[in-house]
Amino acid sequence: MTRQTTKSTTKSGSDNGASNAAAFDYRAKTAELERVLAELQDPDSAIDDAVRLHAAGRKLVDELEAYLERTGVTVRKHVAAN
Amino acid sequence: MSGFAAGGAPAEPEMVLSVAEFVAYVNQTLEAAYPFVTIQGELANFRVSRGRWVYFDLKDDEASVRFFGTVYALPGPLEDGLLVRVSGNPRLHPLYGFSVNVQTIVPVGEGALRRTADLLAVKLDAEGLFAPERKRVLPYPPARIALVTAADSAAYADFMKILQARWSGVTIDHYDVQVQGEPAPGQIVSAIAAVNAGIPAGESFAGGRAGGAAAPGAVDDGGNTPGGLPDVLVLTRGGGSAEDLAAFNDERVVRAVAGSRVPTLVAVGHEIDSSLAELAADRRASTPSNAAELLTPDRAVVLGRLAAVRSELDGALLRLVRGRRERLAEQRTVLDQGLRAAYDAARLRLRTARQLLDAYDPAAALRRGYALVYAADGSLIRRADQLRPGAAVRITLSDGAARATITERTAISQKGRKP
Repeated sequence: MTRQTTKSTTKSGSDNGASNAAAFDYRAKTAELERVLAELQDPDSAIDDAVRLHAAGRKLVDELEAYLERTGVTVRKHVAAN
Repeated sequence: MSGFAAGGAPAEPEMVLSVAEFVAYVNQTLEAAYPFVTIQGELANFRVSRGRWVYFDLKDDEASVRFFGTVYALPGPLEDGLLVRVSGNPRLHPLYGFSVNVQTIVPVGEGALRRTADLLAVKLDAEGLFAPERKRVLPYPPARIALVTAADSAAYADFMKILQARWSGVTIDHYDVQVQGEPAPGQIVSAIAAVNAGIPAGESFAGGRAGGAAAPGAVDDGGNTPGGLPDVLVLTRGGGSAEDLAAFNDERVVRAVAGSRVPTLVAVGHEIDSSLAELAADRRASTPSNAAELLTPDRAVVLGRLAAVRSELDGALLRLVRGRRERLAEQRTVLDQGLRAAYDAARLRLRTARQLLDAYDPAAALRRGYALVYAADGSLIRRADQLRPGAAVRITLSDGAARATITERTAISQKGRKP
């Protein structure tokens, strides 16, 4: 007989922190922010593009900060009995 | 039915047994009295036949016992002289006599453990299990970690404490296993297999540690667990004696770590002598806490970096705008300079034209003392031969005019002499 339980803990106590965290791809967002920064450093960027990149970068930073401040660690137990 | 009498003396007429019957009786007795024994002794006459069958003796100063088993029960390569603890079933074979059918073999004592680990290290190293080129880079930071360790261990507590202090949003799939003792290798191998099979929460993995009876409906998964493989598999435990750490030098565990599709990090709480599981892992950490540190950045540091990135974004846009303004100013200067140059060129052309006009102005010649002579019909006299004595002419000077009559004409030679 095997049993397996799931226990979630969040540092902030947010009800949906864990599910939000699961949907949030931190590595992808960080890579996107690096790309935005690199493109924004290009002195030949058009002003319109630069403004758009700046806004996108600020949004990514906001999202990443919110992610780090909101979510906790989710623990799912895998317990098996022989 | 017994063929034996108490005290060895025949109480009834002696029953003569066939050899096979005797063997069967003895095995029946052994099964009842000693179904499973554990014997510790020095390994002797160890040999492996046809890559599968294992034969050896265990001996001490006074006795020697034969053992038989398969290579699957071996913890790794063995050699004569090692002190081992063997568990198995005593049997009397119909043809080959008494032996113990091996279930498990465990090296005993630090010397034997180290020697068996050394032998296994040589074997696995030759197979390339520890080769640097096999090492993979661990995803950083991982979103999902499979944690294989004992739930009630300090290693689990330390790992979780550091992880929660440093990072957020990570999901831990915890596989509760024994990390020392005889069941440990099997449980660890089963957990690693479960991780690599992508068994999601709510389903079982075989061979794990008994967690007590499960009440119907006790599973608290909610069915919302994402499937697929975790980003990294962490196998960890705290420090301990050589025997405590033996599972991390078990060949099955080492091969499971090396064969894991999921990148592995093995952390054993000791600094001296890496275990073979650590050598086979993609990365090792010195302690469970160190494992959590290696896997995740410090949240406070990342938040500080994000604040800096926000400033960097603003600065980059400002720099770009400033650069464009400077470029516009340069372009304005170029335009101004071009216009000024065109204007200066036009003025120069005008001045040159004026000078040319001045040079050709007849009044200027009159002012220098020259005079214009017109005939009576008003035509300009250009040569002396146009004049005849007695002809009336009009003479124009710079400040007035006069009428005159030609009295004499004198030709001037081309050399300025009179003819």
